[in-house]
Amino acid sequence: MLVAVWRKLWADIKSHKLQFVLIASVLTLSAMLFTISLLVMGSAHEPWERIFEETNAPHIWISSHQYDLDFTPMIEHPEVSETTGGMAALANNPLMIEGEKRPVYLYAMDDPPQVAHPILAEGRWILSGVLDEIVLDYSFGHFYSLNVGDEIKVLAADGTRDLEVVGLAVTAHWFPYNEVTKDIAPAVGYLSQVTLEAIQPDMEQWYSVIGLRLKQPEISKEFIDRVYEAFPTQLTSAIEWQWVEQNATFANTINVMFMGLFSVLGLIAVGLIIFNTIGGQVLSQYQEIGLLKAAGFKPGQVTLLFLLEHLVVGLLAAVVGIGLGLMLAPGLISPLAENLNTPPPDIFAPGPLLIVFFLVESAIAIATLLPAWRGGKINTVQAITVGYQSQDYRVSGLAHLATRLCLPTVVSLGVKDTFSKPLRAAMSITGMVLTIVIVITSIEAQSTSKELAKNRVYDQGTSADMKVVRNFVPEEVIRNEILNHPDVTRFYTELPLFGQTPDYSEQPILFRLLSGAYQDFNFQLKEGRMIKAPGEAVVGYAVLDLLDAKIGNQVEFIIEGTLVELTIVGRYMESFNTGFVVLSNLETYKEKLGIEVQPLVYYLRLEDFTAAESLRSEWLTETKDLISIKIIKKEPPTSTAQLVDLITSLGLIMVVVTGANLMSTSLLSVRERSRDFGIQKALGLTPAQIGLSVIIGSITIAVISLLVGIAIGLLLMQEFIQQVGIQIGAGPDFFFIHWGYMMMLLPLVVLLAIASSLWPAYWSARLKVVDALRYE
Amino acid sequence: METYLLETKQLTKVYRNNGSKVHALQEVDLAVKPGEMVAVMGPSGCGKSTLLHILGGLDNPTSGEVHINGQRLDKMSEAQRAVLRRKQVGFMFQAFNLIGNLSVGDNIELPALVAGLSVRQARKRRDALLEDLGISDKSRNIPAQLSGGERQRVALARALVNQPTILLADEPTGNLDSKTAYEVLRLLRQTHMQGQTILIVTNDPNVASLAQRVVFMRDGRIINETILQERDDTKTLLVELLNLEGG
Ligand SMILES: Nc1ncnc2c1ncn2[C@@H]1O[C@H](COP(=O)(O)OP(=O)(O)OP(=O)(O)O)[C@@H](O)[C@H]1O
Ligand SMILES: [Mg+2]
Repeated sequence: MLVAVWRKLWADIKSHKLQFVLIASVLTLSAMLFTISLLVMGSAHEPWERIFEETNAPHIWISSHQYDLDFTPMIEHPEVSETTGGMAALANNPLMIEGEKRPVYLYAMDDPPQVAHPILAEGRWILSGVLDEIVLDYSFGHFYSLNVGDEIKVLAADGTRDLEVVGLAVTAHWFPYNEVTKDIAPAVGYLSQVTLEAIQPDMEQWYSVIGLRLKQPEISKEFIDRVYEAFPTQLTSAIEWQWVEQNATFANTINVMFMGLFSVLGLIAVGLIIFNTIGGQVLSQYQEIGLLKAAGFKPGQVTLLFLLEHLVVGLLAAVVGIGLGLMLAPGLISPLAENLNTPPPDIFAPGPLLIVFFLVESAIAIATLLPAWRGGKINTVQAITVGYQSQDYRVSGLAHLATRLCLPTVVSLGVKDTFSKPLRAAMSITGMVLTIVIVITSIEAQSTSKELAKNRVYDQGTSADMKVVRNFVPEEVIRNEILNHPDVTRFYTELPLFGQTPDYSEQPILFRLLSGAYQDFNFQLKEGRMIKAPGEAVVGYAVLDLLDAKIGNQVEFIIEGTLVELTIVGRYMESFNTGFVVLSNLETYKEKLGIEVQPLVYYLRLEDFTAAESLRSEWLTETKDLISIKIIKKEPPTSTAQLVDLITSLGLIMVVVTGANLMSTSLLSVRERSRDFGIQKALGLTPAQIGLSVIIGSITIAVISLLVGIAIGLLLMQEFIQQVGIQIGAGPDFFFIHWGYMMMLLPLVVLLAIASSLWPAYWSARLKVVDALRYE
Repeated sequence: METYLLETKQLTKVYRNNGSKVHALQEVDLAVKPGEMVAVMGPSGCGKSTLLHILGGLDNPTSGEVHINGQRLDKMSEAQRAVLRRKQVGFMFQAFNLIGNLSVGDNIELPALVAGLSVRQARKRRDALLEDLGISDKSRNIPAQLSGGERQRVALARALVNQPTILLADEPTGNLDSKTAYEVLRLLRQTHMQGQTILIVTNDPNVASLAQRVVFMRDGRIINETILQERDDTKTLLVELLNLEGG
């Protein structure tokens, strides 16, 4: 049998070289896509939860500005199962990176504790008691391309110190550092106690921090309340793991959802394409099946022969494809892993690789067995004399339509020929539809993440040129030096405060209390209108969702302990705090409170934007560097590019696979129809007309697939992106149809159809009539 | 000088198969007059089909000339020959060679449409031919649903739809039993009577007896030619038989 398999395989390779190359490359690329999809799926699957488990992360972080606070009551509390022990830390201590100050939480962690032990992804841990070594958060390190062995400068009490990066570690301690979170939260780094002392010898500046694991994580809220009661004045913050998780997974929700969708679509499409290619190959060999039976093979043996032949090819293709996948995967997945703050997955794990083998081989097996089984049943004589094709010829509805439309003869011939095998046409179309859906997924992923980036930070939703944060500089200094500056044409101010609603006290909501000329700053609203009078509010989608409220409703909030009643007049989008955000008037709050409250942030419009840099340095000098000034660049924001790159490259590979599949199908069907082409030529069709009809057949498939694909893709994406939007609290109105891109798909798809049918068309155009008619 | 519709001069075809040569045609001189019906006979492998294919421009000769209606076929490109075939040549084959995924009606219309006739003209001709050949009711069927005789009648209709200068038929009755074969022959004769020039390749002396002239081939050469007289025995017998069948 093996000899027979080998002989047949060899004969097939020799007689149909191109067909074989196509099948082999479809299988190889498929195995590669399978590999990448599985690895991506594995790394994108609930990454934060996984890291949380793996690092044995605490449920509550408690920090105090009292460096020697005695945590014993907490450590010995009956609800607490494990702790990190007290740790010394420096908050918001800047690292100098690319000339900019980047705030970092620095923790003294000579020995990683049992709880919250970071996972080293690269390099080694700091040596206990050794000076000037640092282990950085993996996502932060990769975001600024810092590698093990690099020197970085840290701002110290007496100037700067040089630290050596000795390792990059993954942690569930804090948010992953990425494009979305970098403006919101600092990164984390770990160093030895002696290094911490060297940076800041004044221990009064230190914080003490402890991480606690609870026996019942659900009660973290009540537990925090009790801790506050026990330490009424000493605590700076208590952070629950749910809050970290919410913010950590925020950017990734999109990544994970898109990657999940993409992997599933990809797997189905690739499976279908394998099925189509191999199935077509087997169907085209009906005559051969008859001959084998005539030569004394039992039907079972014929099936086995075909099966083994394709499995052998599949095995080789899987090996090559997995190899290619493993080569490409790190480059594609690592950026995503940084974004998710997971270590890059172990790509040599045998599990996924075995699954790829299994998937490829079983898709091949099904694709071979079905037609081979049908083939085993057909009459031997019939198979030899007429082959398979003349049995199921029928005139399809579409072909009739082509005739009725009085299309040019060549066009209607092409359409008819394509649809005379309805099953094959349907399979080709389905495969291509999936590819188009995937391409649309990648287009929409791109636009969604762009849209998200645009609304990521709220200052980009306004038309302000500059953002000034007062810090501890008195209000009148800002007023005199900056707001009254002749170059400032307009401004509004903001006081950010956290609050809740009376019914949902566990959900922190960010209130941006505005005053000044905010009406003139073009706030981008999704619904309703901007606030005008005191007592009005514009809220994020997540707030509406939480309160089950609509525009026009009156709702109650508690801002810093004060009950405030607000009428919702509009909705806007902001990613921060996963959409739990409210814009309101500072006057509202002042009235309630009865005292004067000062704004903290100032948004300016400048006479001349080009003067921004010089104004910034001027003002920084005047305030002795005590205020923060950010120039709001109007350039299109960078998006979560890693995701887009990944999906786009996978989409491109899909397109290549589809092209190969289209070509293979087209080649098979022109081979089967060689006799028809002979007859058509005898009837006076020129070679060019024959070739054209083949190309038109292929274009027909492509255009139908495009239309169906766009319809399905858009419906799917609409539903999907709405879900994404609701998940991240941004609202359901994320979805935009990019008709421009859709229009561009048409020529691209037609081009793909032409490219993949060029060789089959040439082959049939050059076919010798006499040879074709002799074929019997 | 007599004008010929079809004329070959020193027509030679050599097939090369991994080193070995097959002389399928050797210096064949053949001429067909307008309205004539010529039969070509000879043993299997003597080059009959090769000759027919070259006459219809399906294949190129190795050397020699082919004139059809005053045009040099052997000097033309494949595309030019295809265009010439549309109007000038109708083909019938032993294996029918209908297009399996087109209905009978479409099979017949196709050459007319390719030749540039309007859909209405094509339909008119198709219906007339279907009527003439007695297969009007089969127009919507696909070839696989027809009997052998019916298929060959469709093939004849298709060959005639463009009113070709010459009809080339390669053993059109080879795949049919004698009764169906007579039916097809009757129709062939009928078209010949209407003035159609026909060149028919056959192994059957009965079929050949329909022709005015029989050309005998062997090993790629024409070895003999016979002009059949109207009173020729076999001929009379067959013609009478055909008349009877036609009722
Ligand atoms: N493509 C080809 N390559 C090589 N040899 C060929 C080719 N086509 C035909 N021949 C050879 O040319 C010779 C003439 O073939 P042809 O088909 O013309 O014979 P024929 O008279 O029609 O025979 P039959 O009565 O069996 O149909 C044969 O010896 C055949 O083997
Ligand atoms: Mg022959």
